[in-house]
Amino acid sequence: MRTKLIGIALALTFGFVVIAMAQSQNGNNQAGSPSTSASPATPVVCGDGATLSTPKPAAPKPGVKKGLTADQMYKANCTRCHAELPTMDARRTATVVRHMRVRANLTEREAQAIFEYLKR
Amino acid sequence: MNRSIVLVLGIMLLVTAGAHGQAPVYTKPESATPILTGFVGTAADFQPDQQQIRPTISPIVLIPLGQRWLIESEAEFEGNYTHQTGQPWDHEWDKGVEYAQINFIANKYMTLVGGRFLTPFGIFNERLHPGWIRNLPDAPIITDLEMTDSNGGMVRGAIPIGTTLNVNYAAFFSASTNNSWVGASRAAGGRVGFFFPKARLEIGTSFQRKLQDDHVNTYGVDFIWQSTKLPLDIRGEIARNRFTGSGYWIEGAYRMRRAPFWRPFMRKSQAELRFEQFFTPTDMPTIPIGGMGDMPDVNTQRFFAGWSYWVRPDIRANVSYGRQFNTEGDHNIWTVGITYRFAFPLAGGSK
Repeated sequence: MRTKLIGIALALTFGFVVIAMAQSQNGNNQAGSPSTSASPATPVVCGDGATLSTPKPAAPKPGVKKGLTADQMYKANCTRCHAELPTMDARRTATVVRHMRVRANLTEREAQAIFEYLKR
Repeated sequence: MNRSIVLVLGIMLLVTAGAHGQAPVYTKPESATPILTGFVGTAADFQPDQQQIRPTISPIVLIPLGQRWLIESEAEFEGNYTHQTGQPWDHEWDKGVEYAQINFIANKYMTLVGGRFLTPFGIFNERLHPGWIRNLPDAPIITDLEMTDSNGGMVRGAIPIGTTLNVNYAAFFSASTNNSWVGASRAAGGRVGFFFPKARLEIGTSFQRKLQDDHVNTYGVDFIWQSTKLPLDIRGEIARNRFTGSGYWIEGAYRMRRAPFWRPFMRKSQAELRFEQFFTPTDMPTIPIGGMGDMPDVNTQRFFAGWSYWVRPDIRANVSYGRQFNTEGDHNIWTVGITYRFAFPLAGGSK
């Protein structure tokens, strides 16, 4: 019984991995699309109705590897745990981002991009 | 034991010194300021013949020093006011230091941590346990399998591999400490996570070995996945310990901001579901020192359905219904709660 249930849990996990990989691949195949999100222009909506507008991404240079935009990094790293994030001034944001860099194992690039994104 | 601590601290010092010599140059210094953050909240549980009210105060102090250091500490004060049918209210307060650590960002890929820290096992303990972050007020049963706090040293960081994968890691050693505020076991372990940012998927695996008493290992696997098509998060965790049990939980949360009706209410709401199972150990030679904690002593299944509503981004109200199934009797668990998350600067201006 236990083995069966753990097997189901692992199968579900594997299913999510396959779906996620497929989505990721699909996003990469959309030529020139800087955003993997279904609605790249969708602003980040805060609970009080305020919005953080999504920056208009620059066209990628030929031969340069496409990474995530700051908006995408914010969504990929922050909103998967935090359903809502109160906005703060730049100095408090800097402290919180440093805390989260350690706690959530953000890369240096992610931490810098998210800080720049949030302090706007 | 003291020799081990000195050895760990010595290694950390050497690594720190080595890393300092090849430190990257930061071109954009952050004007970070010390802050007092954390949350206050309360939750009330209603079960047959028993009601509980659990107020919690959890202040966190973050003190950045220079460009690479951060001192952080969280204390937690949790009350437990319990009423059982036919008996008067009883109460007790649990007090403890969740973490009190100093972090040194040695280089792009490594941070050194010393002091008391949350044990890096799975995702719930380190990332999701604060009341203002977790989706449902009740923690999964298997979180009691995991040692929650450690006193010692830790090395952690993240290494990007191309633009599609970040490998993150944490390895720790903890010394035994017998103190009601900062207790910990002698143990070692860590977690390795594989994060695919474009897919918004992270899969991790954890291990810890207790280096005292029964010397038992605990293994874990975890994942978080966030849909790029829908406002949906799914996360889960599996843990196994030969002497104290095993189990898993899986949880989904759906933000209702796209609902076409009651928009002012729905756009600040989230629906949550969790299912979990716990299996008692088959070969438990003795009851572990300290007992079984809050874990059930029979195989148990639970599910919860919850609803959260953000009055403001920093104030969340939630209500949940759960049902627990085991051979000791099935019963319902109703919970209502509210949390307020705060963050005040302790020095400097607001800009």
